Order: sequence, then structure tokens, then C-alpha cells
Amino acid sequence: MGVAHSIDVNREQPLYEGLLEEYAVPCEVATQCSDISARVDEQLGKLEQKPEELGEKPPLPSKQTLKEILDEMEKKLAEIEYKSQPFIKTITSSSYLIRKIDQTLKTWKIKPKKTDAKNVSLPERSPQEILLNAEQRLSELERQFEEIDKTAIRCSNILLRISQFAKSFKAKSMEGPVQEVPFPPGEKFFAFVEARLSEIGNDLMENKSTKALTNELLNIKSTITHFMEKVPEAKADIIKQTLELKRLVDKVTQSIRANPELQTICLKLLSLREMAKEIKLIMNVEGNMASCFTTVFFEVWVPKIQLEEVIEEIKNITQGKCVIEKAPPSIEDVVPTIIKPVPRFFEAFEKLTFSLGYPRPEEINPVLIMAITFPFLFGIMFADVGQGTILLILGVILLYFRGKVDIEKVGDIMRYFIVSGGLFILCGISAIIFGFLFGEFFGPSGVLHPILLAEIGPFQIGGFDPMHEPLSMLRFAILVGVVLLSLGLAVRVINNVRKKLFRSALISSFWIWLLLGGFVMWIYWGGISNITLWFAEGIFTFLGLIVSPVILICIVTATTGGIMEGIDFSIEVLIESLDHTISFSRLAALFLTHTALNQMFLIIAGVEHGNFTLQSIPIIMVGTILALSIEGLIVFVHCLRLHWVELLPEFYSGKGIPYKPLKVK
Amino acid sequence: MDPSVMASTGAAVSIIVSAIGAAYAIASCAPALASVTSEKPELGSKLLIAIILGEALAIYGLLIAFMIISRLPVITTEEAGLRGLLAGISMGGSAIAAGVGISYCGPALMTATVEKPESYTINILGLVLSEALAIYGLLIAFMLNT
Repeated sequence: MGVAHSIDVNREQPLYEGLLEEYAVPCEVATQCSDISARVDEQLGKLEQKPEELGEKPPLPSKQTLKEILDEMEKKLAEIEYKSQPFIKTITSSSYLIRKIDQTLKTWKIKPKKTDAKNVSLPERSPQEILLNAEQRLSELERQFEEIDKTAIRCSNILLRISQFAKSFKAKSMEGPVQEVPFPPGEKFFAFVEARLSEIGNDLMENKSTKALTNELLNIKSTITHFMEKVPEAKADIIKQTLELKRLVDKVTQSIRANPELQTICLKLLSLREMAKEIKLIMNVEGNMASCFTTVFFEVWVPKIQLEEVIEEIKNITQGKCVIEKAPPSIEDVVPTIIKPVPRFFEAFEKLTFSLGYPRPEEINPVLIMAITFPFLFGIMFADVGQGTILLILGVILLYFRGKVDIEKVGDIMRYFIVSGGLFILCGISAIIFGFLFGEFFGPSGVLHPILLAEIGPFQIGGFDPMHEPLSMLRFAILVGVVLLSLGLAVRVINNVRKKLFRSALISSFWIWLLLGGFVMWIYWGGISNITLWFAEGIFTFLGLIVSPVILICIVTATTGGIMEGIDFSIEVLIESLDHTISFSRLAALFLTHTALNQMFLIIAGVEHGNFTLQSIPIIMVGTILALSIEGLIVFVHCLRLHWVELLPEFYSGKGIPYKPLKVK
Repeated sequence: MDPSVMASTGAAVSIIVSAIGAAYAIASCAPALASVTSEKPELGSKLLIAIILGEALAIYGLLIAFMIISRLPVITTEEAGLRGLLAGISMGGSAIAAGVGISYCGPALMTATVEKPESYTINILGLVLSEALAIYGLLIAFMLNT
């Protein structure tokens, strides 16, 4: 269905004499919907699944009312909840076990490493049994570890006692035979050894130092030392077993996750989640409709092509019990604009244009116009073959990354950059072209010589060195300004005709006359400084080219709004033409700034006649970085300003509303 | 006065006064930016432009100063020296004017953008127009110095 989003019911006025109450979605339906989505989220959380967006939107159950749909969904949810019970149990126990293993490893002061569960084969048992076994095994391992710890402490105690004895007698050899005792030795063994030691101690106190006693002592000592040596090994063994256990549990978890039944459950939950979202959207839309018990009233915008289809669909849904009134938009209506998508290459220009506002339906969408004029102006201000090439390469790299990187996941500044790959490329190409025209290669280094493209009257397009002839550059900038402004006015005429505002179209054509006429006067009589000549020798051309369009504009405006408004408007037109044209002189100023900045670094680096010596390269690099970052940004901002203040308002209102259709399956 | 002394004075005036203008602009924009980013850090990249435009004023002054100095060997006549001096003064004066403009428009832009981000595009114009004042001065200074 293609029902437009702007459902417009005038709530302020008591329409229909109270017959239509303001429709609100019943409270219980709204609660039921949010209840379902909360339950779905909870279930997903229990299954340890991330709530993801589904690529395809699932269709809603085909029922008549929202209440029935929600009931159906609730039934499904209950089924799923019942089915997912065993999975939740296993998943909870497995994650509990993993946590426990991690904790155990932590108490043993081992960092839990990432385990690789690929090479573990699962025993042929149900996951619950495996997990149960694993838990038992874990407690067993913990017990063993504790025992070994205890053994180590006991052993060190005994060794301490032996060393105390060793002071009282002098044994020649400290080595003795090792008694074969299974490791870890039990409590009995230690009790025996300790009892024996105290006996030996007593004997020693009575100075009964015999060889047998010494031998026994040595025997005990070496056995205990042997145990002590075995302790780290045993510990490592247990840790290894624990890690293996963890791997096993991981594998089990993975196998549970990979279970197709669980996956279908998750998919169902996600689709339920999407459905709940969609129902929320529908409720939102219904909140904008007016209704009483039996009737619903709404107004929508529909594109002309889809009109029949939508009417057919509404008739289908309501089974013919509907009254549909087709009405073309009246003059006061602000009609939403269907904005055609532009290629991804131009998306930066789209963003820049729509920052000013959206186009009205009749207006030409200026994105593609901007995609030509913006790089053009940028190139004039940033004319440089070398730096233009860097921009071009940068643009190609950004365009390459545009396809690879998810732009929602990168930072703010990075996003701007990645989106504007096309802009960089076009600006770079334009900068290279103008760099050839003005002979710039990393500044006026003398590598390139300016190439004359054309010569129109006093205007040279390229072929001069702007640093030495700034006036030629200024003239060139004004020429560019007049050409672009008259193009803008031409588009304005087209827009006015499309809007069927023929009087405004007439005014705009007179405006072009005025602009070009003033320009011709300026060329012919050598600027405003010779203004006396305009009134003396050039009086007829002055009358023909400037006075008559102003008077005509005044008259045409006066036919609708009175003579004062006419005078007012014509003065405004006069000032605006002058002001906007002069504003383009910034092209020359910023070009000179750019060139002078580069020249500064060229002089510092000692580059003469295009000889880039090896030691000059670092300085040139610093200059290039400065020019590309700060200077580039300033040029960019001024480019934007030229569009937003001078160029686009000529033909672009920016007061449209984008058409965002409501999409319901 | 000696022409080269006059021209050098022009260079000094150009850089000193432009730097004062830039400092004034930055000194009022940077605290505003700091307070804005403490509330909404995501606006920082957008609003940094006020500070960059302020900084650009000093670069313009530096450019004119540098151009005057690089032309010092050929400045031999009284007139050329005076032109250098006037170039410096016009650059410095317009940079001060632009600095004052930016110092008022920048913080206003920032506070407005925090409340209503969509008003950014309109409000940036004040900032750019203030900056344009310095560009006009720069243009005239270029012409005076050639």
C-alpha cells in the first residue's frame, strides 16, 4: 500500500459537530503490543541472542483488527516460550558453568585464555548430560587442586622441621633414597611422617644420634622434596584439564547455538519483534486518524501514478464500504515532494543541498546542478595540479572504502569523509584542470606554464599568472559569477514556468537582461569608476541595458502589488544583482590566498624555476598539508556559501517537504 | 621615511593586528565550544569551523606580511613603501573587524545548534560573512602590494 505519511486531520476545530471523536488506540491494545515486544526481548535475552534487525519484514497475520492480530501473536509467542524452555535451561547451565570455570581459573590466578573449540569432539550424549558430567568433573578438579595445595603446605612444613633437626646433627650427604608413594599422598601418610618425625625429634633430644635415624630422616626429606617438585607439574596438569573442560563446554554451547530448532525459534522471535514494531507504527498512524465507532476518516497524499492502485487497495480492504474523494492539491497546500534517489557518487552533494532545505515538487532538484558548479568553483579557488591529484587519490580511496565500511559504525568526522568520496574526486579533477590553466604545481613553482584556454573581450580564461596580474583574476572571477548567476536565473525561469507563475517568469527574464546588461556596461565603459561616461556617451546603452529592465520589473511587480512594492522590488533586484556579482570576487581572493600560501613555502624551501631539490620536499609537504587541511576547509566553506547565499536561492526555495511514504505489508 | 622601513612596518602591522583579531575570535569561540561539547560531544566536529575560521585570520595576516617582506628588495620608492604599509594596515584592520564578527557569531551559532541542530545551516552564514570581511581586506592588500 502506498498511503502517504502525512495524515492530516484538523484537530483544532470541532469538526462534524462532535460526531467524530478523536480516535485513540484503545489502551489495552497498546499495552498488549508493548507487552509482547518486552516479552520477546526478555526471551531473546534468556537465549543469549542479540536483538537484530531482520532484513526482510515478515508479513503480519491476516486478521481484521489489531486486537486479533495481537492475540494471534501472543498465542505464537506462548508456543515459542514453551518450546524454548529446554534450550533456556541448557544455555543457562552452560553459561553458568563457563562463568564458574572462569572464576575457578581466576582464583588459581590463571588468565582465562581464548579457547579454541574446533578440535574437540563431542561425546555421543545429550548436552544436558555432558554439562552435568562437566560440572561434576569441575568440582572433582577443584577438590584435587585444593588437595595439592594442602600437600604443598604440609610438605613445606615438614621440610622446615627437618631443617631444624638438621642443625642439631651434621649429615654428610643430603641425598637419600626416594620412597615410592603415590602422588598426592593421603592424610594417613602425612600423619605417619609427622608422628615419626616427632619420635625422631625426641630421640635426637636425648642425643641418640645414630646412623639409622639419620638415614631415615634423609629418606623422609628426599621423599618430601620429591613431592614438592611434583606439585607444579600436577597443578599444570589440572589446569590443562580444566581448560579442556572449558573447551568442551564451549563446544557444547556452540552446538546448542547451531541447533536448527533453536535457530528457528530465534528467527520466529525476531520476526515477532519486527511485527510488534510494525504494529506500533500502525497504531501511531491510526492515532492521526479521526474516527467514531463505525467510521474512520483520514486524508493522505498519494503519488499520481499510484493513485488508482491505492484506491483499489482501500476498496479491497474495506470491502467497498468506503467513500473516496480524489482532490488535486489546492494552492495553499504544501505538497510533499517525491525525491528521486541520486547515484551514490553524488550523495555528498545531496546532503549539502538538502541542508538548505528540500525542493518543492515543481522545482528542478538542484543536486546534479550543484554537482557541476560546486567542483567548478572549488577548482578555481584551489587550482593546483599537485594538490588536486592528492585530492583525487584521496577521493578514490574514500570511494573504495565506502563500499567496505558500514558508515553507521564509524565516527562522526570519518562518516563525513567516507560519504564525500565523489565530491573529493570531482573537486580534485576540477583543481587539476584549473591548475593547468593558471600554471600551478604545488604553488607557482614554474613547473607548468599557464595555458590560455580562451580570450573573450577583456577576459582571459587561463594563460596568465594571477600573482602578477590579480586584476585579470578578478575579472575572471566576475565573469564566472555573471555566467553562473545568469544560469541560475535561467533555471529560475524554468521553475516559474513549471509552477505556472508566468508573471514571475517574466520578471526573472528581465532580471537576466539587467544582469547581462550591467555586465556589458561594465566591460564597455571600464567599470563604475567611469560612471560619468555612462551618462554622457553611453546614455543610450545605459537606458537600454539597465534602466529599461528595471522599469519593466517595476511595472510587472506593480500590476499585482501596487506601485510602491514595484519600486521596492526593483531596487532590491538592482542591489542584489550588484551584490551577488561582486561576491564572486572571493574566487580571486581565495585563489590568491591559496597561491600565496604555497608560494611562501616554495620560497622557504628555495624552489626556483621548478627545481624541487631533495631538501625542499619536507617543507613542501608541510605546506601541502596546511593547504589541504585549513585552506581546503576555508575554500570548501566559501564554496558552500556561494551556493547557499548567491546561487541556489536564485531558483531554489528549499521549502519543500520530502515525501516519506508509509510502507505496510 | 625610508621606503623599506615603511613596508616592514606594514608587514608587522599586518601580522600583529591579524593575530589580535584571530585571538579575539578564538578566545570567545573556544570556551563556547568547550561548554557545548561537554553537553553534546557529537556536535564538536561541526562547530569546530568557528575556531578554524578565526585561526584563518592570522594566516591571512601572515600571508600579507610574508608577501611584503618578499617584495622588500624591489621596494625602493616612497610610493611603494607607503603601499606596503597601507596593505598591512588594511589587512590588519579587516582582520580585526572579522575577528569581532566571528567572536559574536560563533558562540551564538554554537548555542543555537545545541538547541536546534537544523538551524546550523542558516546560522553558519553569519560566521562565513564575518570571515568574508577579512577576505575583502586581503584582496585589497594584495592589490596594494603588487
